[in-house]
Amino acid sequence: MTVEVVGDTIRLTGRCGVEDAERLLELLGQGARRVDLSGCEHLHTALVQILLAARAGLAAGGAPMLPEWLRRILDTAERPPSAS
Amino acid sequence: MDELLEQFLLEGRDLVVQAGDDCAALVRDGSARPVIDSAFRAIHTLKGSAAIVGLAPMETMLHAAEDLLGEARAAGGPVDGASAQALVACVDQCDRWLDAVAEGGLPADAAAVAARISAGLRAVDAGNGPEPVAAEADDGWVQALLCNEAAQAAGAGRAGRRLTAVRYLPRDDCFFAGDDPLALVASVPDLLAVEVTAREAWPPLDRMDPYRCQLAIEALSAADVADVRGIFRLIPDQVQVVQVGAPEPTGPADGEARVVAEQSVRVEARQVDELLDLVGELLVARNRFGALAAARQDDGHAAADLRASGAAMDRVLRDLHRAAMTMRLVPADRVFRRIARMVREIAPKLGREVEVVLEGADARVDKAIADALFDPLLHLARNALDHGIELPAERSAAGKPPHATLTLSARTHGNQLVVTLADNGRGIDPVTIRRLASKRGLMSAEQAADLSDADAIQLVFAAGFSSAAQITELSGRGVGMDAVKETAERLGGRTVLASTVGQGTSVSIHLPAAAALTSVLTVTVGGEQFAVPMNVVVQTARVSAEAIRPVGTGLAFALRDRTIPLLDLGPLLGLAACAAAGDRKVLVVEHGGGLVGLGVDNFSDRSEVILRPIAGLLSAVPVVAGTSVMSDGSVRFILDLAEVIG
Repeated sequence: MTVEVVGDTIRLTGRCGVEDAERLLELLGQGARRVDLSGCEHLHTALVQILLAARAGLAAGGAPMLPEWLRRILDTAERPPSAS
Repeated sequence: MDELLEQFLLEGRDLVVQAGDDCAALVRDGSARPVIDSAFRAIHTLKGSAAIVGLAPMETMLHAAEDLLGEARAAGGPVDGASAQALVACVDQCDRWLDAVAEGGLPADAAAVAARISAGLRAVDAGNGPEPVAAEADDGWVQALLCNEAAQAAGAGRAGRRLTAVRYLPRDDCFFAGDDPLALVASVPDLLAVEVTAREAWPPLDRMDPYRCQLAIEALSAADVADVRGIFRLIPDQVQVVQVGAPEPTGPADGEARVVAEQSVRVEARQVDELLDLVGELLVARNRFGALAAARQDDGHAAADLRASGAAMDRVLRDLHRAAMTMRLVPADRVFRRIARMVREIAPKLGREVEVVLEGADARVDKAIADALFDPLLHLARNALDHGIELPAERSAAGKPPHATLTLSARTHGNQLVVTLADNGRGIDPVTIRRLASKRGLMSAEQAADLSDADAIQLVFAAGFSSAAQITELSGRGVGMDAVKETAERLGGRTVLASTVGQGTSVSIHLPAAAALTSVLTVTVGGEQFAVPMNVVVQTARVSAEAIRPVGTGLAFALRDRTIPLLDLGPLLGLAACAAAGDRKVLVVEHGGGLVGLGVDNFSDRSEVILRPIAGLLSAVPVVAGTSVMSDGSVRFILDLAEVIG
């Protein structure tokens, strides 16, 4: 697995486990809004939870290696940040 | 009557028909999911309507039925035979109560009956019902999930699959335990949908604990509940796994139903009749074109134009008439179901075991015909139970199944509607009929012996054939086989009886598919004009005075080697006899299986009219079949010749 930042996009590749949670949360906290999951083979629940909480949007290229239901969940997560 | 109640009675009938059909289908096959769904919906709606109009006993009973069906749906299980029978009994009772409500109100024992039927429904429910699923209190999430994932769920439902719903609330510290909840969910077989929500509002990212799980995961699978439970066997405390019936295909199918509902409008029969009357008046106005064209003979062009536009109008009028007639059509079902219900009620009292099979019950029949068919069909059914269908022991002895079948069918045959009631009972023995016919003075033993078997059995339709021993509650109302035949003829149809000894009997009533335009012949009798339906007129004839001979106390004439009795129509109608000397004008009509000549003053034009049933005072005059407005605007009586001849 790798977590890297390209511009305002976080790229997750390979099998991403619970150990990436802290790093991902930190990067999203720093203002990155998009995640590139095009090379992601597995996304741990802890990471899904963070993406949902951050309402992160998927970068172009989608998440072809993740199951369709998970893509739907991540897609619906992308909403404008709440007004608060 | 209260408008709400009136509406309830209208809709209630339809719903009872629907529920009755579905429940009868469930008796045959209790696993048909769409049928269970349909029955559930009909009963649910009926229950709601009964509650609105304050029919508490009906509501109570339907509630029990709804529960039974609801549980079968939720569990995806079949409705067993006992349950289906209990449902049929419940729907039958509703049907009876609709009759009662229409006539004034529920009977005094309604509450007790409702309690008994409800108890019956609950008993089978508890005894054989499907295993209870999610506890009532916490199945809200199942409904919400099914609702959110309706498309996926309905897809599976259409494929006839059951669904398993999962609600998984991972422990806060599950990540530390090495759990990856979504990975576990991903391993559920036949996964249809997954929803992930936060159990509480998301904290700001800077205050979020990345290792604390606060997700709620819900999933829908088409796999068996046991297989899904297997996946979560290590964390049973964190999951609920529930089997659910696939919801009825909501989404698109529901949309279709809604569209259909919006496309139909309930119109009172009276309004349709008004429309028909207007069509009739238009027809009258149109018939004047002929006279107008004749009056403009001097101007060839004008006359031709009038005739051409008259012809064009004729086509439109016919279409208009047909369209208006179609509106009066109701499913034959309405009548059939009531007959089936009566048979189910009567058969056990007579010790008969009978299954009623309805065929072509969706055939559409003119409402007036459907209403008029009830009594004759009930009589035929009663006859079949009394005389045709053997006792179970007798059937077994004859090598037949103890359960007899009574088939009630409707089909359209060309322009005719054929309604048949057939049993597989003992059949009618022509030998017995011959004996009874001579014994009851219908004919001599020799005459009876001359009849073919097929002709002999037709004697059951003869007036006076029914014996006193046959008087039942129905014949007490003056309905006999002869009345069945008369009703068919009054509706412009005929009856056909076929029977094979040992195999059964069938009686078909052939009727015009819809009360179409009737061809009538105008005749003058005693200075008055009447119309006679063409379908009874075999021919019109001029008979010379010499050809008429006295026979017994009356007159007769010969027509193509047949001797035909001649009656004078005038005196039969209480009018003057024909005074004309010389050739007589005679209508030759069919009557009682033979021909009869009716002397009239004159025949005139043939025309197409809409026969209006007679109402009010005139309905007490038996010789008048109806009235019609003629092209000159006058109202003419249409004679019922069978009644006139008597």
